[in-house]
Amino acid sequence: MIEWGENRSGSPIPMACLLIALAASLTLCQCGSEGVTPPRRAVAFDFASYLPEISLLDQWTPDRDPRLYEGEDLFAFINGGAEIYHEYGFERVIVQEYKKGDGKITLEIYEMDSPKAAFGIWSLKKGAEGRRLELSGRGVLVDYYAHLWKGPFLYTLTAFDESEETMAGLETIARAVDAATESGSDVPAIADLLRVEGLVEQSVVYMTGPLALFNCQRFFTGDVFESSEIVKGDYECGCRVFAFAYGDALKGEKQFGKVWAEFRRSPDFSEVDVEGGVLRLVSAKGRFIQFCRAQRYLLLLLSEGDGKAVASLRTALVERINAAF
Amino acid sequence: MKRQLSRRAFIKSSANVGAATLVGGHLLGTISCHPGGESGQKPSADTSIVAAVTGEDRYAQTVKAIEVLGGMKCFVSGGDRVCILPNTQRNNPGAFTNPDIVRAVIDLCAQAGSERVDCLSWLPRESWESTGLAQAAKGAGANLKLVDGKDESLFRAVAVPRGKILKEACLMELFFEYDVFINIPITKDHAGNKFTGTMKNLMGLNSPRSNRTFHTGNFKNDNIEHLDQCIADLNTVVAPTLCVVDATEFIITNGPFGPGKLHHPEKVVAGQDRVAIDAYCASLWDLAPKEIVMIAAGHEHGLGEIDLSRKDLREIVL
Repeated sequence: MIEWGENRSGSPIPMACLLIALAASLTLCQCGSEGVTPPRRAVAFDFASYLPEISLLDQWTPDRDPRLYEGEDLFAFINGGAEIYHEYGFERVIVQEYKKGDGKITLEIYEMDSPKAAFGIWSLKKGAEGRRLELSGRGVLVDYYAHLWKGPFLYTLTAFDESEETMAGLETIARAVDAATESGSDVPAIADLLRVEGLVEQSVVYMTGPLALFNCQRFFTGDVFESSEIVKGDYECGCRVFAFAYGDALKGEKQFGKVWAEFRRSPDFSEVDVEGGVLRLVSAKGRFIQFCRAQRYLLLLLSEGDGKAVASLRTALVERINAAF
Repeated sequence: MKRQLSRRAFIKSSANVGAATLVGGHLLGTISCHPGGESGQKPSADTSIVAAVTGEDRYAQTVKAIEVLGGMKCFVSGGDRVCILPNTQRNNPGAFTNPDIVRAVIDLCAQAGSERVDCLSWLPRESWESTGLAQAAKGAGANLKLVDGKDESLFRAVAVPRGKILKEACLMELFFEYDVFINIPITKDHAGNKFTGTMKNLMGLNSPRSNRTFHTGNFKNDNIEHLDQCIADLNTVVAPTLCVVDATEFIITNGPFGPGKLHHPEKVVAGQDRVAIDAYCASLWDLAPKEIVMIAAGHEHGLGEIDLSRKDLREIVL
């Protein structure tokens, strides 16, 4: 048991010990070095290659040592909230706090196992609101926080007050991390499938599993769709579309049958009709659903009404997918 | 002496109601085995009440909410050892229990004559300090008891006979030293199952290793029903004496860690019925309680009422 002031085993890897191996040449030496516990890594971790140049931070300085959490140790940092990162494919997170006067900003650098995974967690975290930041990567500022995607990284910046100076500092740090990351990456191809007229670009969310889907929209509590590539987009007509990818058209067809059966079994949905391979349902909340297959994708359109606009959107999406094949 | 009586009273009452599955009943205030309940040392609280106090002063709101329930003396007697469990997730706005709520609870316990109040947690000290909860607790005279979550010897295996999935919990050994347990979560979004409140907060008493079994597979095929049923199962062996929930300002996206979009109901919610409190808190951001698997599963377990129309809901504005 640990009482006040004691150290804790299983603490994140502290900067101070790593500095011994890194030598004083690192610019990060200006960080403090309290709370030292033995590092678990045999090889020193190069924080400097992840963190922005301090000279670019307009006098925002590190408030304490950066911390590193890798693999399942993420639970030590995000107790109870780590699952979603792992579903996308989590490698490590570096956490660094900055201060300037009374202002405080936290930078979290999540390294995912691929640019697609980073795009996915970024698209989920940023939400559909917020102001786009002018960066070479994709950045969105929402209220007191910002999310930036570039390459395999998700950068999350949190301001602890909304003063002009702190919010300006948040953008300064965002620009610095953007500059420190070498290159961006393309959006996953499946996200392009939704790009037909009326798509609200900022609403696109890329998912790789049931947890992200559940966070986006509740259809079932289990993994009924069994897809590891899902994309969601909202449209100006008020319709929300989900596209689920499968290995090939045959797998898509098979899954279509399974999901169809689950919809029919669930008390949360009532079937309206089936026409031309399109299952139409009404949810318990009175929302209309159109569910169909196109090539190796399943399409689900969710809307308040069931009018022509939804049918036109479905036709446009199916045509786009067919054209791609 | 009182504690020994309470323990015996627990065993007797547990046998009577077939509720022998409740862990350390001397400290767990269910209706049937409330400490001191049989010895008549406490006025009895009305378990049908859910108090929701809206305002700007978190301390005053908390005091009022507990007053509506009958006052802290309904839950804490002279000499009681009290364990409290706030949510110290992260210092992001709306992601941790407001320190003033915790301070108020500690003060009220002291006024009711508690021997001591301890905050119990296996989360790191950093979480307590960065949220201001360590300072609030210490300032109010409570002790911070941090347990190394990786040291299994600091946890006790407990059978979960009524568990539909969870058959064994692993609770902090220290937890068994207390007479009263006050659960003080913040309600908010949760990426794992969409909602967290009183029931899910109890995972903070269970070992991280055991909590890991609440999730299936390798995160690529996690199952919300499995997670939520495990949480409801855990709640069959741990019953808080009192729940005080921070529903003042909380994240409704990117939970439980944040940063996320903030919602401001400005309420402190208190009561003994975990299911009803969670149902009420879910409704504060338009979630249907029946759609939260954990709440429905808690109701099915008989832990509380999901239908708020069956509760005595006291909504007060300060």
